[in-house]
Amino acid sequence: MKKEQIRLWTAAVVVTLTLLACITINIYFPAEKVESAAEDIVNDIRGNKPPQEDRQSGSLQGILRKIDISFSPAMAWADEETTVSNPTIRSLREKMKTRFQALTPYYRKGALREGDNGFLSVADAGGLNLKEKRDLNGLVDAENGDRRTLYAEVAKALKIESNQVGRIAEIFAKEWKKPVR
Amino acid sequence: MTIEKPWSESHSHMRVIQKFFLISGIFLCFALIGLSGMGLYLYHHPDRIKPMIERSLSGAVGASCTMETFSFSLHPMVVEAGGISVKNRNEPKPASSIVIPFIRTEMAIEGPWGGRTLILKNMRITGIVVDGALPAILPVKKAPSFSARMVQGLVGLFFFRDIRFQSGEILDGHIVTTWGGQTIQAHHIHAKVGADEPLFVSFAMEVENSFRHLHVTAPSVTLVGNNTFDVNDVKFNGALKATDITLQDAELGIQRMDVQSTVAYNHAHKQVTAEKVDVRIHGLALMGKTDGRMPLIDLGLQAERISTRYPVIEITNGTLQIPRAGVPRGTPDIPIGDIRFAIPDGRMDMENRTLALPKVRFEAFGLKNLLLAVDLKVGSINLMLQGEKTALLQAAVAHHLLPSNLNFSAGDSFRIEVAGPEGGPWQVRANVSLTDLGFQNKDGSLVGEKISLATEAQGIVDLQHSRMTVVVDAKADAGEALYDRYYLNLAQNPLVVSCNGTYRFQQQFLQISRLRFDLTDILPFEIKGSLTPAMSIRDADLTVSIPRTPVKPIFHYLLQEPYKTEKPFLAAMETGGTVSAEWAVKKKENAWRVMGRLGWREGSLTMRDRGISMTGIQLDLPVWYQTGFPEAPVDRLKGACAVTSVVSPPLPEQPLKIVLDAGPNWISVDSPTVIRVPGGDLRLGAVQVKNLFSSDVSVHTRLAFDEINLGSLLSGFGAFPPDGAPEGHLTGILDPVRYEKHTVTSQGEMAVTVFGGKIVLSDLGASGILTSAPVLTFNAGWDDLLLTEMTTDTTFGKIEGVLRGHIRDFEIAYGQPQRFDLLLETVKKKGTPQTISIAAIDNITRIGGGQSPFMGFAGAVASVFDKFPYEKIGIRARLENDMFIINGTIREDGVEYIVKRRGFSGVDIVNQNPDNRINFKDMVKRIQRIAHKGGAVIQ
Repeated sequence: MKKEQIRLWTAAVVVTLTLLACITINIYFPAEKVESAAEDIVNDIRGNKPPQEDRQSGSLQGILRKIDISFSPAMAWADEETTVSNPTIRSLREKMKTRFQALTPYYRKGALREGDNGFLSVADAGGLNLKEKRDLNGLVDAENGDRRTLYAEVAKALKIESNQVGRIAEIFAKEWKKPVR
Repeated sequence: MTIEKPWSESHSHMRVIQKFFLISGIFLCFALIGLSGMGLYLYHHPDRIKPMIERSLSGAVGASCTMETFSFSLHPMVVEAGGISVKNRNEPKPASSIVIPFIRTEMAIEGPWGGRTLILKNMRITGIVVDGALPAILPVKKAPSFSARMVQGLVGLFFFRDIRFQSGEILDGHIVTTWGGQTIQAHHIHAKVGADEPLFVSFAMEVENSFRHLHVTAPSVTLVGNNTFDVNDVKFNGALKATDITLQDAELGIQRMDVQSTVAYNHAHKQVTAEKVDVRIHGLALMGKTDGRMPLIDLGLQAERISTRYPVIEITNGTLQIPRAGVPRGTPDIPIGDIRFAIPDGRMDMENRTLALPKVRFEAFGLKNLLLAVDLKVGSINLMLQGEKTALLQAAVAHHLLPSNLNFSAGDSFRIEVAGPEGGPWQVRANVSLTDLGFQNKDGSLVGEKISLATEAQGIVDLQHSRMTVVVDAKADAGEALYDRYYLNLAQNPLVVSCNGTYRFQQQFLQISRLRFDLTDILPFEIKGSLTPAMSIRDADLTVSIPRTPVKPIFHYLLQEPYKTEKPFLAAMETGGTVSAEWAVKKKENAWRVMGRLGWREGSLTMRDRGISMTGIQLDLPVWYQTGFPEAPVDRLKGACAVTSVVSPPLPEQPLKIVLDAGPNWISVDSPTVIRVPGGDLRLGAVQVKNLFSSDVSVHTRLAFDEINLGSLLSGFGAFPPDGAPEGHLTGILDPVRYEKHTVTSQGEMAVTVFGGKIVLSDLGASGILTSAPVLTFNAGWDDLLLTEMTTDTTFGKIEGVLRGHIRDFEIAYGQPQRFDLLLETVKKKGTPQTISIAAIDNITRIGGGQSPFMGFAGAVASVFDKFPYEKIGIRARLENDMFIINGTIREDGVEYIVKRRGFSGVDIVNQNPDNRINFKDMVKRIQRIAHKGGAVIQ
């Protein structure tokens, strides 16, 4: 019986520690904030209108999102007035907006691929001549350089550890992957 | 008149004739009787005939011939002999011997009288041993002597004229002979031939040559004829089969060889013809030239016909195949299969030492459609190899001569001619052309399209000295190429390459007399020196030089065009002048060293849109790159840079002259440089750049500001109009100033004496240098600043008092404040009044987010006063993430004051919202409104 009790206590402690560990991770990475910033920044760069709050709130997705916010450990962040903007981010957004105009034809030709890592790469440059490929390589490198800085600045703005920048990039990747109009 | 002979005289003649015939008859009778008797005697005493036969045979073969036993019988006619020994010890023939332990043959005589033939049948030779040099063994026909001819005539008349071999066999024969330095042994010789059955021969053979360390074994050789054997007219048609042959010598080894062929031999024509030849070799090892690194190779040789009539060998429709194998060349191996040769016809003359193979088609080393012509004559060699659509580039990739991550497509053709004396040296001419050459690596960073490349090479191959000298000219004048960001239109800028060099095979040493690359109208450069080994460079000693070349195309093609997207300032940059360079490149094992200079003469650099220009550039830049070289010929390289005019607003136009020193991976300017700035001089200390050729580059220097006039400096930078800038001086030393990992940091302070007080700037730095997001950072603290001087005649409104405070972690990005923590507090100072104007109160309130306090009645009352006394002003402002938080620093009774009035008079400005956040854009608008309105809002 004693052994049985020890086992039960051990299991309970392990489960509790695991839950606490999960909570700790969630508290220190504000995924919702990053998602929101990513949506805002990418829409701004691509000239997309942000989705209407009302429209989403009535939808099943909107309700689920609200439930998620209500019960997620990220609630601790909800009250903070942390914005994701500073002169660097604003400048990057402007640069990327301008560059997006140059990239759009290549997106439409299918020459570009948005990676899961939040960075852009040349997918199929078969239809381009070498000069266009050269220019495209330059655009892609410049874009990725700016994205790298952007993710780092978003991390700083949201007080996220620099070793979590990869996660920020992955969240941005979901927005980048949305079709280009 | 006739005279008649007397009767007595003719009668006497008759009697003489009668006597003669009588005597002759008697003699003949006696002779016949004698011969018969001798025959009967010999028949009954065969041992007496043995010496006669020994003598006859000795005379016939020209050697000593003995036999131990001899017997014969007439019914049936059988001869038996034992212990026959034929020995030749006479010069000039070398010693030889034939021993036949036992021979037995049956005989028969056929044919008409006088033309009879002796038929030998069922001959059986047991244990024959032949030992001696081949020429000695072979019988030599001699002109028969008179007596021999007499005996031959008598034998031919009475017994037989010819001998015909009908059937017989040899059991367990053994031949040991020498021929041309080889010792040839044939063991277990079994041969059988009959009247109605073909010749069958089987034996095992060994060949030895101790000088060449040659050892050949053929344990099973069989010859099966398909015709009857005629010893007088030796012809053979049959099949040859030899299996399990092995060969070993110093340069070659064969584990197993099987040979199968039909063979026809005509002794009269001395011709051997082999048809349907099939030779299969398993485990061929080539050790001589490959240091034993070659793997074992299997090969097969087939020929429709090989005809040998000494000294000529002719081959018809031959093929040779070597299945796939790998040659170890390090990592990975070189595949050398499948090699297939098709030889429609060929001819070799062993006596004249000629070989003609006019049209050999083959595939080898992955190359297809190859045509080889070989013409070897006495003392000379002529080879021609040509091919079209040979998959040359794919083969080069397979053999790791080209990078394996590249995909190639091209139409190729080449022709190589080799001619010269047999022992060399040989003249070699080669033409290689590639059309529609395309290549691409996996990530698309290296691409070529529709490139035309023509290469012509001439050289001399000297195998005796293991050396090849070669002159190569190549030109690519069509198509496009892209490497990462570097694009080249070869039709506009053809690539021309020429090379003179010598390659030493044994040392794998390449001496480059001159290798010139000329990217037409862009960049030419030359390389001289040596590489060892040439393929995978271990050691190198080269000189790379660029002759004087205009810098403009180099800048345009190699910097401006490739990087203008990422660095837009490059697009507006213009360059002029000429550049030249010379570098000594050394490699030893894994260590590299590049030492030399880069020159820029009469250079200019202009950015018109920014008003920046450098003209009259004379640069002698020392370059020293090094990895792991312990020794160096000199301590440092000297250089210099002189610029006649540097214009970089707001700096005044000025010349520049610096002395450069370079060492391994570093460059420095040891002497200080004075830079004129508006209001004074900026002294740049010694500059040391380390890790120059790595991403970890660092710069170390110091900056000294010596009494720089603040007004001139600020107005020069456009911060203030020339007549409105505050007066003061900037003094200080920043030491050290470091640049590492795109970040500038500094220690030291700069002090600004202004507004009757002092501002101290410290921790000046910048991050993100050379990236798309540079940020300037510093801290500042101030004390004793007279607010009167600061605010008089400003739109903000006049404030009297003394200010202290600080700004910490100040970041400026893109000309805008990005982050700071600001503290502004007034301190009492004897003799300095503390008053604040209505306009200032109004503006502070507005900046803080409140409405003007001077509206309505309050405005009417306040309009009576110009200013109010105050006890203290205390503001703390923080900026982060585009959000200002403004608070008062004076807290009394739970109230947060920004301005605290003095006594009962004056105005309190209270921050009602301790979490007072103002968006950056709103703040900018508020400040802009204050700057433009010109006064407080008093209603």
